[in-house]
Formats: sequence, structure tokens, C-alpha cells
Amino acid sequence: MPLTTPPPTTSTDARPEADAETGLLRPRVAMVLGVATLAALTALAILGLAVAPPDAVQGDAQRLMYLHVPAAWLAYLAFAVTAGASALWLWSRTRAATWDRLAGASAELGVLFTALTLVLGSLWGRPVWGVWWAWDARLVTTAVLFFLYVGYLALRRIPGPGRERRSAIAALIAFVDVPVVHFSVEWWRTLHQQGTVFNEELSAEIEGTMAFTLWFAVLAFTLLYVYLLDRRYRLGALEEGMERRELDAAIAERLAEAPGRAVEAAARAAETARRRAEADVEPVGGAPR
Amino acid sequence: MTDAGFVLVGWVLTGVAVSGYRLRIGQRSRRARRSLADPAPPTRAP
Repeated sequence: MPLTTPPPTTSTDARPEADAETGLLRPRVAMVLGVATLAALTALAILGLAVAPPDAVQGDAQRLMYLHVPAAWLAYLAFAVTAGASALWLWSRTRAATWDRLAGASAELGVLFTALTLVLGSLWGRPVWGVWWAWDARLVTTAVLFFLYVGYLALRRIPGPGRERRSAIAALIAFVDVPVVHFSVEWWRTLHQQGTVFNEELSAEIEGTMAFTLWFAVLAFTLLYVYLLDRRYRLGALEEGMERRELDAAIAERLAEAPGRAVEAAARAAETARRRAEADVEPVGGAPR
Repeated sequence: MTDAGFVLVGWVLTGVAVSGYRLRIGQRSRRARRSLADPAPPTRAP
């Protein structure tokens, strides 16, 4: 994944907002990726709804597989990225604000795609199983995963010192549920089917067009994830820039209002700057900005 | 509802959720850019 570097400053008094918008991808790459994602999703709709044949047993209901499976894959991927970025933030040698921002952006996408996995699974379950919901190990652990990361996102919104640290620890704890979700169909007897594609015992053969559509769906959704992650990461950088600006303005206002308390306000500003510097420690070997 | 009905609802819901999320990000980004470009920075409520 190509990473952008902050734009060079041309003057010594450049404002911090000037480079507030930093993405994971270069703008041109992001634009091309957006177009490619849209094209891939359009092609997927045609493949999944018209080209791929209906299933011999489930009929047309099986076409939900082309959304349900890639949505679940994206949820795993997003939470893995969140856990990885959180671990990198926690490790003092690689600590950088960018990892915290990446963790938050990816977790939000993970929650979106976990919700979609649950809803699409329910829509698929109704015609095939005859129920919208069952207290099945796979379904319950996936719902737990959803609520764990909703809690994680809520935790991230609580301001104050130590926000990044507690968020990173929570992300690593929540990630424990991901393998539980994945292996739940093997550890317990479930209504939800076991893994099919990579199951050697089952050695399932999926019809050519159906297999192609499934793999294409995984590819299209992965493109969608990278595209949305870049946009969400960029928004995170912008909003952090806004917060910094508001804080600086508030400090300046207090200083102007009460000159006698200038020393106290300056001390608070210095403490804020120190905490920000700690969070922005550049990692050894470089990290995406 | 027929099988095709469930499928259509699933695809439409996915499209609405993803495009709605993308639009929301765009809206918040535009607001943030406008705020950062504003020469008079906003102040926090006391």
C-alpha cells in the first residue's frame, strides 16, 4: 500500500492545519481505487444476481452468499488491522498517533461489516433455516463481536489522558473473540454450516461461475475496505486538526481573559503539548503519516 | 416473501449502508475542511 508523506512546508510559520489532511493513499491512487471499487461492485451485482446460477438446493436465496461471506471476511480483516495497529501503538518503539488513528478507522469499518454480516445472515437464514435468528454459537459469538467493538468505539470517544492506551488494550482484548467466532462452528454443534471452501474433509466442489463470483466478491469487498479505510483515516486526521485548533484557541482565549493566570494556563498548554508529543513519537523505521 | 425478495432486500440494504457511510464521511470531511480553512478559529464552550 503506497503511503503518503506530509507535504513539505515552504515557510517556517506554516500552520499545523496545512498538513492536517493526511491519508494512507496518495490522492490520485485513492481516486483510482474509488473508481475501481465502484466498477468491481457493479460487476459483482451483475455476477451475483444474474450470471451465477441459482443453488441446486437453496435456489436464489444462496445469492446472499456473495455479500454475507465477503462482509464477514472484511470484519475479520478490519479487526485484525485494528489489533495490529493497537499493538504497534502500545510498543514504545513504534508508537505513533497514526497507529491509533488507523485502529479507530478500521474498527469503525469492522463494526459496519459485522452488522452487515448479521443482517445478511438473518435474511439468508429466514428462507433456508425458517428462522431469522437462532441461539447458535456462530451467531451469538458474532453478535458479541459486534457489541465488543461498539464498546471499543464508545471507549475511544471518552477524552482525557490515556485514551490511546486504554483503547489499544481494549482492541487487543476484543480481538480474542475473532478466532472464537471463526472456530465456533468446529468447537460446538451449530446450525450454521462449517467452513466449506477450505474444508479438506468436505472437499466441496463449487461450480465454476459460483466459485468465481465468490472470489470476485471477496476481492471487490477488499478494495472497498481499503478505499473506505483511507477516507475514514483522512477524516480522523482532519478532526484531530480541528481539535488541536480548538484547544489552541481556547488556551489563547483564557490567556487574554485572565493575564494573572497566564502562568497556570501556560503550564496546562505545555502539559498538553508534552502529551501530544508523546503520542506523536515517530516509530523506528518510519510509519505512515 | 420469495427467495428473490430476500436477496434483493439484502443487496439493497448493503448498498444503502455502504453508500450512506461513504456520504457521511464525505459530509464530515467537508465540514472539517471548512472549519480548518476558517481564519477565525472556533473556541470551546466554557
